[in-house]
Amino acid sequence: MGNKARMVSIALSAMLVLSACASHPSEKSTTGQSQEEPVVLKWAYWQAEPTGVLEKFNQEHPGIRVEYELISSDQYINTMNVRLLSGEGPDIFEPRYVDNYATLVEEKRLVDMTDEPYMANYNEDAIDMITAPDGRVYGIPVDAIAWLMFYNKDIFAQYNLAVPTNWEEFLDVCQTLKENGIAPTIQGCKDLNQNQFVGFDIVQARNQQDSTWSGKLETGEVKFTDPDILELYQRKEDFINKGYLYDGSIGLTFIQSWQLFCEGKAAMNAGGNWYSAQAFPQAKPDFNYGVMAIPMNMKGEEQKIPYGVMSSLICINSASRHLEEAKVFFEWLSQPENLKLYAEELQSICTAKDIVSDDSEQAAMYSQLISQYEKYPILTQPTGITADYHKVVQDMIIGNKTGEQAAQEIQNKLDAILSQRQE
Amino acid sequence: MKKQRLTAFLFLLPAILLFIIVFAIPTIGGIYYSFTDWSGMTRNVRLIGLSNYRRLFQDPVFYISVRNTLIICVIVVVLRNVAGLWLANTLHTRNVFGKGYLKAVFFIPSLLSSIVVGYTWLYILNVHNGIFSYFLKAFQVENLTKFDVFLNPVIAILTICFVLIWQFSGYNMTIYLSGLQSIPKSLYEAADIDGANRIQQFRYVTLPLIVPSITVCTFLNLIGCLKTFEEVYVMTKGGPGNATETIGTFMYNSAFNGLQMGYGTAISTILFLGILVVTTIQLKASRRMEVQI
Repeated sequence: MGNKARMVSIALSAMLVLSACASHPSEKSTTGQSQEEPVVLKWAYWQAEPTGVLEKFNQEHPGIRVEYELISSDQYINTMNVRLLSGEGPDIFEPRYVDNYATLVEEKRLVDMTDEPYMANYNEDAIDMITAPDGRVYGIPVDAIAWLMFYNKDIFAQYNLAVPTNWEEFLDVCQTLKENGIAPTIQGCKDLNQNQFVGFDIVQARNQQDSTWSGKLETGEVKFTDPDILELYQRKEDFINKGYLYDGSIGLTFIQSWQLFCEGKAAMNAGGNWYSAQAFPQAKPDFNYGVMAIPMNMKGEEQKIPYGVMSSLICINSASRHLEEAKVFFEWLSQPENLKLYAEELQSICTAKDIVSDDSEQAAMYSQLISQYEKYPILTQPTGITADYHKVVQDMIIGNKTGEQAAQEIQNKLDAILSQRQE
Repeated sequence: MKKQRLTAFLFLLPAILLFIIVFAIPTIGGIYYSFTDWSGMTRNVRLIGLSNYRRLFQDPVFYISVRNTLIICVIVVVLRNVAGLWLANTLHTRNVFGKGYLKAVFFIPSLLSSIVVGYTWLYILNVHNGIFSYFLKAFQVENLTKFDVFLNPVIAILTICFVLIWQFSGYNMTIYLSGLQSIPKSLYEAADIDGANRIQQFRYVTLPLIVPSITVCTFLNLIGCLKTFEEVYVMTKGGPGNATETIGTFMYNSAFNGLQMGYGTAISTILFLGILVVTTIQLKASRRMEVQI
């Protein structure tokens, strides 16, 4: 290489270094103040995005921007656990399930919020539900959810049907609808977690009588093959065999089932109050719809509503690089007016003390319904058998299993896990 | 000689390092975790010996998933090869209009992501609001549900097979085309002089000389089919019930939905060993059949 070429290459290298070291003109404003990029908080969650709430926060806090990531409910727990273990977890997330929450607390992956003054803004029952085994609280119950039955008021009016208040009345309503060529219920059973709403959920139906029941499954104190549970599986089997579930539900996803419900193809669809925010924007019903408590109780038993905040508990990842900013966001969100705004935007139930969501028609409807019933916490089956718990219902729908066989299979799966733990 | 060996080693070193980091270490790690009760949500891991394997061989869903995977393997590997060879032979021997364009069209599905392919066919075959439903409605079909291919376990498996064949037949076609193009024309001329007709030429000239291509296609398809996951997960999620469960979906459901990573890695270890055994046997068998020109 000649001297000239060498000089040119040195000059070019020097220019590169200098340009890299120089600050970008756009980084300085005309006033000379530094225009730093806002700190970005990642919030991963399974409910619909509260865009209005986030917009308000981002406007009031120009130094922090909350970015929302929607993860589908049935993929939420595995996606989140993989990310947390790989150190790529979001700043804010929902731990999902009681046992997962307890594990995350034990491993110190969540920030302790117990002593934050704004925790007093929340309902005491909501705080009780999220209190960890060590007596501390590791997140905020941003709203509450309830399992309900959506129904087509126009169809009910057409056939002079009253809202059923127990299982026997529910079966009568289903029979009348079926005789008139209307599918009584519809569920998107292709999505696994939708199978728990076919007729009623076994765990919720049993927890209705004793809310500690599902917890005893983990210790082996109770079994799915106990006579009282076999009876529940038998009820579920009868419900399916009588044809009260829309023919073809097994091939539908959650959204498809809602679309068909909104088209008036079935009279009822069970689910959570969050459905109206998640599913209705895509499939608006052109009829009057209402909500009722799922009639799981037998005649003479009290009707109750499964209600909880565990699935809407949001926590700060202790490995987050923006702990202070996340706390600022939590403090802001925990103000009663913002919790109310959040509940109304997501059409859910407000957890702020002495506040009722009434600006949104749906949120008011849920609050009013829930206030009429005694509530009990939504607790699910042990996490290890989640997929199998739903798959045996699919088997019952296609006629591959009886209720008893389904109960036996799920108990076998649970026994295998429990015996492994004891080894 | 020593210097040459060192140079060769240095050239191979990047590839060896890459292989160790992205394959060997995770494989050994996976085998290790198959002997633990790791849930996937905690850093706490406890060694439990062969417990996961004992449980696996007592799990009826494991046998369903093995059965379904083998059914998919047999149907898909055979029909993909037949379709690939037929397409290649037709395009190679016949004067087809738009030959180059057709080659590209047949090859394109293999470039698509399996997830995209799964969702596309799911949408096409959806009887409620998919493209298929428009045809059914055009024929004034009342009960659309009767035509849902994913409700019947047997039809659901066959539909999955169809999608898998559709996706990769074009890929096999390109391998067979390269094999066919390497056969000297003089062999066909000699067969022609000996009085062999087209079928005899294919049987006694083409087929023995494309055995290496058959070996490659069978080898790749077999491994792919044993690992079948995306299409099944997207289209049926292994359901209804466990009717269309493959080893891949069973492993995923156990490891990620059931939060039993230890159990999931035991399934993947068995799958790894299965692939190793099947492909070794298949490679040895096909090597014997190969003919040198």
